[in-house]
Amino acid sequence: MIGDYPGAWDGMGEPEQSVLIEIHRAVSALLEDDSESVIDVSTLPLGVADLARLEDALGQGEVEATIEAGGKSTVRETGVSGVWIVEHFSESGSVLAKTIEVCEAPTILRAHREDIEIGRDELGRRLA
Amino acid sequence: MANKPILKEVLRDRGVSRRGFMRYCATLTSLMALPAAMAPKVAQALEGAPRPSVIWLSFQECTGCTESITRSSAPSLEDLIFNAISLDYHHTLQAASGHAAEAAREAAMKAQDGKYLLIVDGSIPLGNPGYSTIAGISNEDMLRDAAKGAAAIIAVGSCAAYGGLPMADPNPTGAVSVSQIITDKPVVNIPGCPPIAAVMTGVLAHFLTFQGLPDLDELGRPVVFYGDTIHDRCYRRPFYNQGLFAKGFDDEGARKGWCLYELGCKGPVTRNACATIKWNGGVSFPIQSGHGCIGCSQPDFWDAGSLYTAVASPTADITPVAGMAAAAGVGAGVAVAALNAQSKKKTASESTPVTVQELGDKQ
Repeated sequence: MIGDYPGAWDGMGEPEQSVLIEIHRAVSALLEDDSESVIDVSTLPLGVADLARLEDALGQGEVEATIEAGGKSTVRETGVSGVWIVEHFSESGSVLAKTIEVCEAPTILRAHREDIEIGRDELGRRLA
Repeated sequence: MANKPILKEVLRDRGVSRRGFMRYCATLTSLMALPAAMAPKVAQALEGAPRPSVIWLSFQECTGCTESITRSSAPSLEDLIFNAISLDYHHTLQAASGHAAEAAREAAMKAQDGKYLLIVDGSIPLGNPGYSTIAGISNEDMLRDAAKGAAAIIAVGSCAAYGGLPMADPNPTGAVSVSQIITDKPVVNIPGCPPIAAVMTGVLAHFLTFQGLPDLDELGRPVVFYGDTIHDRCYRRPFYNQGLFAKGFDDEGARKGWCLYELGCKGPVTRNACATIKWNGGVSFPIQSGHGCIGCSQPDFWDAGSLYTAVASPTADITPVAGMAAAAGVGAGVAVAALNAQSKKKTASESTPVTVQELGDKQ
């Protein structure tokens, strides 16, 4: 048992339980005042097996997307709506950065104003 | 030169979308070991960041540091960083040579006075200016001259940071590190033989983002990359804790991946990021390949005893011993240098190149 959380996850180690508790608090904060959170997975003292158990506990959600923007990135919604796993890969396939994001949709997924403007101008030129 | 395009424009010209830029910022934030929530702030800082002018000087070195930084997994993050800075002088990589190259260096130093980033690899011989020259200019003169107008100085590799192999006993050239010559401004040390590419680019990224230097430890190393020992972060650490050691490179313990401590692994006394960032795009690092760490990023690693003898104390730091050895090394270098200080001063003040004749006179 950690704090107010009476050991809900049998077979889990303390490190990944702590992260789940942090995620739970972040989801509550998102619901209460729209505040978003990002956790850099590489900075967590989790081994490969700990991380796998953490991802198992979060489960699989409804969205899975691949982004090709200066390299490959993937976005996966977990079984907990609003909790996303975002990964950026190098050309050789190794993970450059991995974050757990708690938000309605990760920033990298959204179309950005600057790019929308470029798209509009380009389309306009073709129609002119 | 004054109107160098800012990073945002460079990326846009290269067809990098806003998403690509956000991805770049996210990976940079992770690389610099900053909290992930900082990514938007990194993006904001980078949007207006001018491309800093970088002057890279190579002295008594083997070009391994340059090899390392150029062999990073291009065209990824590292490639972007290299397009985000203006590399105005690097005599191994640039097309120009001789007087044209030196003229370009001097022009960049003048135009970007007080703003350029000076990167140095290799140690500096004080024994005789002729031991290592570029376009006839001694390494010491070139370093002092270039350091004057630098916004920051980064010593990459163990030679520039601590004297390295050239300074190893008996230090025939009187080699010293950058920080033993430049004492009036901070020098960031990025030791390693060679350093990990992502560590070098991570420090550059920090400078680019925050227009300043990262936190440094007592040996001038960025804490984010050199804060832990290899042993602290080694995946074989659980075997060490259980007392399971390989006794030979081909015994049962070695095959089972047990701790290499008894085979001379210097992981316990070596501070570097090899165990986490790893090498060759994150593929592996020496211990993962079955060989102990040789401690190449620690001062005087070459003189610190056999690579295959277990370190005496697993938690002791090599620094005090290394510091004393370094002081002895400097003493020898300075003594030799004093012999020809007179003629060297003349060389500097009149910008007269070191001649073959002069080199002969000193021997």
